[in-house]
Order: sequence, then C-alpha cells, then structure tokens
Amino acid sequence: MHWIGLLVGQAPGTGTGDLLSFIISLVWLIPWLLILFFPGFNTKLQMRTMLLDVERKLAKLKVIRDEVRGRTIENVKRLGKPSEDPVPKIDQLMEFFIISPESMDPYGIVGKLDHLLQVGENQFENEVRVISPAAQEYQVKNLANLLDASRAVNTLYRVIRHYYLLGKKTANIYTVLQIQMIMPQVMEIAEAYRRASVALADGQPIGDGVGVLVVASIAHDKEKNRREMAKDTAVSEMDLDGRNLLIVRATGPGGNVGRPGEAVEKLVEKKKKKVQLIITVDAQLKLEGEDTGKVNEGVGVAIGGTGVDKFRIEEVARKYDIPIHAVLISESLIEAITPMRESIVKSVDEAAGRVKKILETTTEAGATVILAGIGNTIGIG
Amino acid sequence: MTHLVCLSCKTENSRPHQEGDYIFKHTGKCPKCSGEMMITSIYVEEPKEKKAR
Repeated sequence: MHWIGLLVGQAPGTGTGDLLSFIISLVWLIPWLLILFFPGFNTKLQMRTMLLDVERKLAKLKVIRDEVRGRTIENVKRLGKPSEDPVPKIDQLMEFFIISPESMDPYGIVGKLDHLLQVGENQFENEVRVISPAAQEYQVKNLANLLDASRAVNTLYRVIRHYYLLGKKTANIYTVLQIQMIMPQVMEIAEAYRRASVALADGQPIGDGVGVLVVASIAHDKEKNRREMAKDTAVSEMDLDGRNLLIVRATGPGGNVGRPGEAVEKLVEKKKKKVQLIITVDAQLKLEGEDTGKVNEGVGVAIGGTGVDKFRIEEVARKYDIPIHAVLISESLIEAITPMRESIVKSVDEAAGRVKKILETTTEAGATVILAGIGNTIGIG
Repeated sequence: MTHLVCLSCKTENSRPHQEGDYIFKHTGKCPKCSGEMMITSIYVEEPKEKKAR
C-alpha cells in the first residue's frame, strides 16, 4: 500500500482523512490507467454515449411514426368507412416501394422512370380507393397523400433503426457517428411530416401549393374551355393583356401534383410554333437566412421531384425553340410540406405581378403563352 | 385561418379552418348583404418575432 500512497502523492500513515483522499485519487486514477493500458476503452465509451443518444432519438422517431400511422388509420376509417379492418392493408402500404430503373445503360431512362412512377402512383391510389369505399375522389387523393407521409416517416424510422442496430452489432464507431451526425436533420424532417399529416388529414393547403395558387389566382373567373390534358392535370384558356394564356395546373381540391410535363408537351405539340413562351411558377427551396415568401425570377423549368416533368418540358421547348421563364417563391423544405404560412400567401400577389411583367416585356399582344402552376393542389379548388 | 370575401359587397371575414374548406370554394352567405361568400385564402398565422435588442 505504501507505493500506492506515494503514487497518489500521499505520505504513508497520516490518519483517516488519508484513506478518503486515497480512495478519491484511486477513482480518479482508474480511468486514466484503463485508457493507458486499454487503448480501445475510450472509443468504446464514446460509442456507448453516441448509441445512447441515437437510441433516445430513435424512440422519439417511433413515437412520431406511430402518431402519423394512427392519424392515417383514423382518417381512413372515418372517411372511407371500410367494411373490413383497414389496419393490415395500411401497414402493407406503409412499406410500398417503387424500384428505380436500371441505369447501367442510361438511354431512355426517363421514359422508364416515368412509366414506373405512373404504375406506382396508380397502384397506390387504387389500393387506397379499395380500403376507402365511401370516400369521395378528392378525399381519396388526400388519404393517398396522408398514407404517403406515413410511408415516408416509416422509411425514416426503418433506415435509422437499421444503421443503429448495424453500428451496435459491428461495434463500428464510424457507422454510429454518421447516424448521430444526421439525427438532428432527420428529426426535423420527421417533425415536419408529423405536422404535414395534420394538414393532409384536414385538407389544408400546404406550402408546396403556392405555384398552383399563383396561377389559379391569375386565372380565377377568367379562364374558359377547361379540359383534362393529362391525368389529374387541367388546361384552360384566358386572355391577359391581349395574350392568349394556356393555363396548366393540377386539379384540386384533392392533394395531387398532376402531370404538368405531359400536359405542356401535348399542348406544344398541338400548337407547334404558335407557343412563344413557357412560364412555370413553383416553390423554391430557400437557403438558411433567407426570407420565406421571397419571389425570384429566372430562366429554366421550375419543377422539382423526379425530374421527369422537367425533362419533358425542356425537350419540347428545345425542339420548337421556345424560351422558358420561371417564377419562384422561396420556402424551406419543412414549410413546403406543412400548412401554408401567412408569408407564403402574401407573396402570391407579387408573384402574379412578376408573371404579368414577364408577359409584358417578352411577348407582344396576340402571343400564345403557356403558364404552368406547379405544386400540390391540396385545399386549392 | 380561413379568409372569406363576399362576391357582392367585398366584405372580408375570417374564421378557424373547417374540414371541407378549400380556396375558391363558394360557401355561406354574407352577414351584411346575404351575398355569396368565397374562400380566398387558408393559412397558418405566424407568431410575431420578438424585436432584436
């Protein structure tokens, strides 16, 4: 014992206080000795701390997943009035997937992707229709959107759980570290889906619908000859300052984005060289620090998503040498999927003014122009 | 909030969102002239930011 006393700076045999200070010193010394003689100890300790953090957030993610799932079940039962218990089918749809096409030979991949997305969307909607026999068509669209949000949160939960268990099983600190680093963003997205599920269940407009709202506010009460040009996508005509406007937008008030690419392509092919300008209006992802509802202008096709619609418009515009302009309204990813905010609604008039200004400066009276409002039409008639 | 405008006398009104509400929906009668009311916007009010010190 004498050598230990010397090691911790104690003179031997100096009373009861010495024993306490010796114990404290030993407690202090043990971790350092462990680190010194077992180099993997500190890594294991760090990994354990990180795993605990991920575990806590994973439990919270499960609570969000269960809440969104519960809301989906409740709404399917309330609106759809199914004769059988819809829960097994809802659980099955929450794991529905679309396998992306093979890209080893990229030629024709857009067509293949478009086909797969169409089949997947139709299949998903039909399944929702089957479990909601009493729901009206717009309610089926909203329920499909709600189920899609459940599917998204479920996928987040499954993927995070996979990497958590994998990191734990293989004791791989780098796997756990990466998961822990992205957890704050994952939790933010999950929380956004949770809030989105409330909006989708109530049929409230979401931030992503602002492009449609701008175009609808320009065309409201002035459009005529409205007809369906592609699935869930309507085309109408109106006169604005002597220009013949062809309005393209998804049909509401059910939640859907339509097929604006196909509609614009068909319109241009029908009118050929008569179309002198294409304008797309959509929501744009803002950068951190930027104001929500800021209106920006540019050139190109303003459509997010898979890229299929964007590709089709770009192709047909290049074929007939038609200029493409875009008007964008800034908002964050979370604002895009949650109920529409006041600042976004207030930007609608400014965005509509910008569209009119583009028409004035780039075309002359008598010109035919395609104006496409892009986004989800939930809560917008 | 759901904001409504009377198509006849342009009276503006607002109320909490109800299920079935959508923008451009013609709903109810104007409390002033009994004209038709139309929903013009539906949005979530944002909390006012605190002034920076």
